[in-house]
Amino acid sequence: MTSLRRALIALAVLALALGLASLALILSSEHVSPRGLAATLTLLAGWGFVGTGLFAWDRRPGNRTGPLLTAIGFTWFFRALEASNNSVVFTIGALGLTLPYAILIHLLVTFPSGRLETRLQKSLVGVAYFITVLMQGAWLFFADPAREGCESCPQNAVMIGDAGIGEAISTGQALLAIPLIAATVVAVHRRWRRSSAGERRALTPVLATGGLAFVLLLTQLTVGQAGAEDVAVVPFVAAFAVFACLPFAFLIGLLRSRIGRDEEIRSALTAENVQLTAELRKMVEELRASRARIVEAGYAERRRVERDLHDGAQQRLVALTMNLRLARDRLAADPEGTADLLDEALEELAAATSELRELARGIHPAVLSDRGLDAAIGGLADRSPVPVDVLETPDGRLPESIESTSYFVIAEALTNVARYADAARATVRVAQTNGVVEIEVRDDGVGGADPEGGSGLRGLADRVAALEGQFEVRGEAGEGTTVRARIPCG
Amino acid sequence: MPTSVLIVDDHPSFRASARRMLESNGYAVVGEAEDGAAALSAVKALRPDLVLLDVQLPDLDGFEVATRLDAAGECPAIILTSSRELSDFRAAVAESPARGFVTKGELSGETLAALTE
Repeated sequence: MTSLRRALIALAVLALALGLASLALILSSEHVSPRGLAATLTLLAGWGFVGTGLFAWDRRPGNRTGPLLTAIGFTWFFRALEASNNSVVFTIGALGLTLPYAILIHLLVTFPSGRLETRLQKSLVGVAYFITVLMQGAWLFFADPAREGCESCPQNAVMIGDAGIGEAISTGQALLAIPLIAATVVAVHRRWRRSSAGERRALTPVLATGGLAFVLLLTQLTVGQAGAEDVAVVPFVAAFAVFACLPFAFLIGLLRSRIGRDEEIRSALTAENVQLTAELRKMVEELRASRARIVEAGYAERRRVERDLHDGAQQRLVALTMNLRLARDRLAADPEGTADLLDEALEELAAATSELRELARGIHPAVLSDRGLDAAIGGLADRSPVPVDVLETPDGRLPESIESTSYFVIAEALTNVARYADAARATVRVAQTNGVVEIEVRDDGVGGADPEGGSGLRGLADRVAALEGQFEVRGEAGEGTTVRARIPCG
Repeated sequence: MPTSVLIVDDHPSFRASARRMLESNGYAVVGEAEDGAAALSAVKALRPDLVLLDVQLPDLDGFEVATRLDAAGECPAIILTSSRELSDFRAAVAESPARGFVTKGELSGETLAALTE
């Protein structure tokens, strides 16, 4: 059982006990009349408000309607103390006579959230508590029950002064309460008119019952102020009866406001949806950009291959053709010159062969497919102008795409080491652990590489990202550079 | 008097082979240029009879160099050359003031003579 539910059960037991105590007080009262009606209405209102309040509190712990309803119920038992024949208890009870109405205004203008949000809500509720707590407290010091028509009431235990002041305060309370209640009724009506059909389902039972109770109370106060105390009893009893029904109206309204809660959930879902959509859109943008870069890198690679072929092997072969043709023409007339031409042709041929080999390796290293990453990395290390220590390579073969990407990461990183790092040594490590291949190329050079700077590094990052891996280049100036890629592997 | 020739190409190995081929076929190679701008000023200074002009140069391409030479009233015979084939450039060669085009692999005394006759 949750601690909230335990507390709610304790409150229910307390309300039960206070209700019985109130019943005893009222039935034994010498000044309450008629006792039966007063006791019935007190129990109906007290237990009704506490019961529905606790139920609402339990069902909607984050909503303040439950606590407010419960509070009204307890004030009802508080004001029942006024039925006591003991002077002190009677006086304490008199302090709480008007309090339920203030909490009811609080509840009514803030339903269904129970939270004071607008300035109008705060003003109405502030004035209500001012009348029912501060003014009521002040009134108590000057109130004379006998003078107010209750001969059988006990003495006011805290009476300190002129009963005339008490009457004046009482009149002041009524004169403030009339516009307050009128404003509350207007505010509630306006609120209802502006609500959507779904909201009205929750608001109607509450606002109609509450509004009716206050209209009746307003009538009673107005008629009472006009001096017709006897006539005022009728609307007072009616208001009291409507008041007793109010907690059930709140309960119906609160349960119906589930619709409102659905809307809260829907709006939260919508917000989450919007955020997810934005994230998704960003990811799609990134994917689109990286796809475009990969395609562009493919074209750039082709242009490079074409240029390398054109400027390298092709030029050598053109020169070779011309030299061979010349040698053929000169063969008879100038055998010595022809031998020189042929030597030159052989040199061109060797250079062309070497350039074609390099080019082919740049497109795809055959050794990688034939003998695996370990042999291919060995070749890269051998050809690197900067001494390279190969610290670790995986034992078996890896999927082709991973071997290939690992190879090009290492090749590009070592090329950068040779070109820019001014390093004395470099290390290469490829480790396969927990389904991840981690590739690391580290040098002891000048550092300060910018991962966004070169198309080579960005191309590598895209290649690694295409395999759902991560790529990073680290190295503050003066601390060497570390290129690291992590690629998930089956 | 032998025909004077300017070789324009950005690859030194080609320039060397072309010079040797031309000279052994009785041409007088009066100069070499490695890009379009150098070619324009070399033609002005050297007044060659023939320009062996590579199509792909680092700055201007061979067609542009030929057009500018023509516009400037320079009138050496221009032979365009490339390691690519004529089919890659046919329309551009036809519109060019150049005398003709020969693929580098087929460059020889005879092909050159046939184009310049």
